[in-house]
Amino acid sequence: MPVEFNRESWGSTGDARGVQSGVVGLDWGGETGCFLAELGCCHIFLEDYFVARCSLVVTKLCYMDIHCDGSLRDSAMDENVTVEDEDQVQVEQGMGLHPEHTGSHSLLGIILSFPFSVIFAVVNSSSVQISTLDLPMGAPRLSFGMEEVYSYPLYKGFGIASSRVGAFEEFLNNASILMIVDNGNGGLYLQNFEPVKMGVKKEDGSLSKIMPPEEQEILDEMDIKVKKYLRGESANFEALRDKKLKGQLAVKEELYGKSAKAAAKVEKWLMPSEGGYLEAEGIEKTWRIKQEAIVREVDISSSKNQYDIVLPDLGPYTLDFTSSGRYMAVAGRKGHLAIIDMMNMGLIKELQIEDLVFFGGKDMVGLLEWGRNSLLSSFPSFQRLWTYGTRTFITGMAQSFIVCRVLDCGSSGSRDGNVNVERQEHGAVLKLQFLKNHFLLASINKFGQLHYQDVTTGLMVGNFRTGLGSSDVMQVNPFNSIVALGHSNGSVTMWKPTSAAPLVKMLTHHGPVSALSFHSNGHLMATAGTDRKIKIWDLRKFEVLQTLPGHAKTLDFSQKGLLATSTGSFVQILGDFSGSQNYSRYMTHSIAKGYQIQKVLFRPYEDVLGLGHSMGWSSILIPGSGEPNFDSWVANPFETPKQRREKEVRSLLDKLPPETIMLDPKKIGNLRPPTRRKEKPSKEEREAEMEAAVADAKNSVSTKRKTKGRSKPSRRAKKTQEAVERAKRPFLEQQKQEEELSKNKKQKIREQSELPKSLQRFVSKKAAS
Amino acid sequence: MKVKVISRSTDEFTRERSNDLQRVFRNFDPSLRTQEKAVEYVRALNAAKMDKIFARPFVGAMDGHIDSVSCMAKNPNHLKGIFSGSMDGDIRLWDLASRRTICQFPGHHGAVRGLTASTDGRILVSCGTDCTVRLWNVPLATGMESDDLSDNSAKQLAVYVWKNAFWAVDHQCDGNLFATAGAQVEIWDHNRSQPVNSFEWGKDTVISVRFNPGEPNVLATSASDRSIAIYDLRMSSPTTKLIMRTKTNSISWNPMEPMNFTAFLLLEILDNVWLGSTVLLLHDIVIGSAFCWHFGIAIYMDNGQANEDCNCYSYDARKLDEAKCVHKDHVSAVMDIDYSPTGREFVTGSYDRTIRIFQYNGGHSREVYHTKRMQRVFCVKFSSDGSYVISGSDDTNLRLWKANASEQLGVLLPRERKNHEYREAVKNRYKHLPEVKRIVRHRHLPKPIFKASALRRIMIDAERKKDERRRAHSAPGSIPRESIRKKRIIKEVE
Repeated sequence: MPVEFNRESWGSTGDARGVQSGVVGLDWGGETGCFLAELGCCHIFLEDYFVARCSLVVTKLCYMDIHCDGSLRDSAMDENVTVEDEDQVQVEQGMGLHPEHTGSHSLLGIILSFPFSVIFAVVNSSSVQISTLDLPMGAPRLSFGMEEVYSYPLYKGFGIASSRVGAFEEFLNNASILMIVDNGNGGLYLQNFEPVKMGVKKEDGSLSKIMPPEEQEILDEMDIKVKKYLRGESANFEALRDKKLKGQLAVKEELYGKSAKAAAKVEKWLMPSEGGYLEAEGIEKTWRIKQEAIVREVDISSSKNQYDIVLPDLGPYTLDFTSSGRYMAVAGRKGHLAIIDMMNMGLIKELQIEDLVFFGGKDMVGLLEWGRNSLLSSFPSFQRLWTYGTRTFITGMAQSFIVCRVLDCGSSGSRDGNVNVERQEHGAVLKLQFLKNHFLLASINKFGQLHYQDVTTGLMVGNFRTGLGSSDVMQVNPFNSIVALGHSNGSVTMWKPTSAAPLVKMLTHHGPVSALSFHSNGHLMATAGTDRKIKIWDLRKFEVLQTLPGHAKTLDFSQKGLLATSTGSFVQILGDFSGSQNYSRYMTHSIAKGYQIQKVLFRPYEDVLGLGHSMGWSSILIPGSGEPNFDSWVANPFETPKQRREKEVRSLLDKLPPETIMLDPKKIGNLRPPTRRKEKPSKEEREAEMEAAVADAKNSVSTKRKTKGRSKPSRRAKKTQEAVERAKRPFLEQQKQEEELSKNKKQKIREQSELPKSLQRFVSKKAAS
Repeated sequence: MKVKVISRSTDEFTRERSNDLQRVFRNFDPSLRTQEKAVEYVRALNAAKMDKIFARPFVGAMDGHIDSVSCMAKNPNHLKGIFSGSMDGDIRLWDLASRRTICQFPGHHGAVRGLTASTDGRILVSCGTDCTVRLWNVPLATGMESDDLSDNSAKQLAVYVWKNAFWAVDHQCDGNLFATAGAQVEIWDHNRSQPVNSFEWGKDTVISVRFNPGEPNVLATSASDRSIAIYDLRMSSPTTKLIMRTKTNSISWNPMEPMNFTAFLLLEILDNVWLGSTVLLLHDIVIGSAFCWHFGIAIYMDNGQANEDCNCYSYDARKLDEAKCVHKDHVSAVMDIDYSPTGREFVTGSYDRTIRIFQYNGGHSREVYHTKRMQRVFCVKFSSDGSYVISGSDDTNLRLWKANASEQLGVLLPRERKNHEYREAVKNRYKHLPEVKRIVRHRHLPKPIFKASALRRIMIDAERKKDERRRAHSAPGSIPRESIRKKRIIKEVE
């Protein structure tokens, strides 16, 4: 509903002078209220946009400022100031009036710069003044802190009498451009001023860049955001000799910078949701806050995420979430499998693998979201025609792994899930991991063999023996899809499907590794060992960042970097709040005594931690653990079946080849740095080296004065001779070796350059032998 | 205690009605997208493969002539129209969209050697071996749409008979003049039956002539004495002449290069380069016409000797002592050349039965087109919108090709267009990686051309090796290395 202001209603005194001329400019003052400027006078509305709580009519007003605290000051030297509601508005007259504004020049408009609200502009008929108010918002001060005034005379065609500045508006994002609309001649003028220049003038005349603290904060925040989108620093172009390439790369780099800046700027609009938090007040500690207290505080829909499911009969449960966090799969050791829609907490499918109860479910990798057509080729025992829109998950068994297909409850919930047993090749699987970008299924079996199977073609991509015994600690690094294994000798090895030897072999604990987890940025790894230590590693340097005491059976990093550790029936959440990768206690939780937690897993895009334990599963609230803003094209919790179908096809098109798995995934497409050849030392250098060694040896011979003939000159000479020979020996041996090598080479060349085959028969056999 | 947890209501994140679009939320955080570069690389690879799959450049053939097509001309006024002349004296106007003859221009008694249309597209000028220049009225664009084929032959406007046979004709940009090449270079006016001016430099036949599109008074010719000459109509004598080792078949000016130079830069350069004619040319700068001339020259030698040159040479007209770029790939003589209106690439037709498209600064061709039935190509043209290539060949057909082989024809949806742009961008970003490069570069060639190019390579290698040996066994510095860009130039005459 449009709000109309009645002219008469503005001034309570009914002063007609205030509204004699038309409205010239209008500007929202943001938090500070509303400005309304007119020709020759000014109305100011405070606090409420639609109800004119107070109105101020000033003739010959030049500029004014409104503070957050509700006090209003103007600088007009005029008696005609009428103020309504005097208890809210205090007017101080005659403070810091600028002489340029008074006189015959009438005010045409006034505007506050949007992001930098301490800068404002005043337009009157002869000039534009841009002024700064060095006043931090909310801090009341008695006088105007006007530091600098820049005057821009208007253009010549801008006749004072014939035309006037009608309205002027600012570009939303760029505070340094002032746009002036001239009603008189229809012109539009853009005036650029640099906010940097609005600093304080130093004594030596140079302008220093001094910003009010909040603006500085805004800029710093922006810098951090831009850095996030820049994806690392640019290469050093100075080393390039190719000028053309250098120019092209510089242009590209500039483009990247611009796009990063744009992405940082639009964050405000694109990512409206804020993350969760838990803050202690007073003497509270965050880790003493109980789940019940949190549930009481949060809204109803979130409080539903805190529950316990007790299923005592079907054994310890393990669980997994889809990448969007929408669906959860749970598997009990005795063959109970279920898929649950977390949005409405509905059970989509539940099945009991009765035949295989005997084996017992060991592990499960999530709901593999890909089309059935691809599965058909890899597991040919599926004979039925499959439709899109179903979900599949894979469970590890003691003997093999099985593939289960569960139909969407919406499309055809009545059909049974198919169960297929893939007995070959993988052996007795202890742990499974799925690399979703590569469509590879990685498994580790009882004999410590690591298998990679391409699930779209069914091909075995890799089969490696770790040689470190059986292990059930396996985790994929989401950053580079490298599989890490924790072994019983305390070492962690990292593997890729294209090399038979581990890429990294690091000793992490004295004793078996019990759990392993990766941060999503790929720089951090947490390991837990039976030596009652939890270690956090920097994977860029392969160094320990932090060692925490404690035992952990399972570990998990959340999207926002919280680390959940659990042992027995106790869960502890660690958080990095200092920003220096120093993890400290954030929250704790214990479930009913006697329950053994098998698996902790954060739900993506939610502040929820799932716990699979010996008596079922439960879910608790961990504020601040999930990413608040999801991307519809990456993982959409509100995905429709149609969208999922399209995504399946697209993800199959973008299936990465196994060769793209490497420690630094940013290397792809980069140039290999030039390998320098190892230079052979020249003959002189070698001789000089030998001489130096000989001299050293001579000096090192101790000349003890002994009486019983041991330090006879001949003895001493012999000793030095021996030392010199010892020093010379390695050099001489090397020389000899090289000579032999070159001799061999020569011989080979000579053999090759012997007579051609056609002529060999003419050589006498004696000579040949 | 202050606490907040993420809470999303389904209403906020899903559409309200089923007619609405699905809501999309974005978060450009790089940590949500792992292995971006690998994904991009795979997409680039897929884009390269898809380009190969969809590479179907041949649009259609236009038959109707009963002898080989010798020359073509674009209709500047009508995108769909193209004129073609054949060796039996037949001139036709074609509609490219329907690929049919719109109109015929009967009159020539011998081969038509040159065709050109005036800038306004109303008058067609043709010349031929029957020693006549004929001017024709071009039917209006509206008339081209009609389907009645009853009266499809146009009347000629004028016939000018002259002393010698003609080899080529080109019309001035924005003017009334046109130039013919034969025994001399003659400049004609539309309304005069005799040439208004004639130029001669040497006694040999001039075989091609082309006006500069940016500077209407400048033209370049090539003659059978292996020379390329630049004339200025405002002067009585030719400006510059360049003599090369082999004969030049065809010349084309880059239509966009002039724009790339700013005036003050030109002044600097011109003071240094143009010695005799500085005053005159400075005048041109003052009046604001931009002119920096680059033109591509196709060169070949008549007989199939070992030294036959199958290359194209790009020259800067102010600096004729060396070529700007040598474009190699053809295995036989290049017969015709035409620049794209964008000036970034040009098309060549060759005696080896292929058409190639080159970047204006690329040493090797970007694209090669051939079909089984296409014989020796005598003339090629880029369409005026730069998206098609037309070729006329010995087999009496005109053929229409896409300039970009895998381009999708028809109206594109915005999201289709965006998808194409994305694919192009990732392909460009990863083009240096071996697998992508291999797929992008690979072209299937007919066996004879493949073999001929291999043979050519062997011959060039042998020559180079021989040169090196000769150099190794001579006194140092007695056999200087010669740049390939300068090698073919004998001398430059002012």
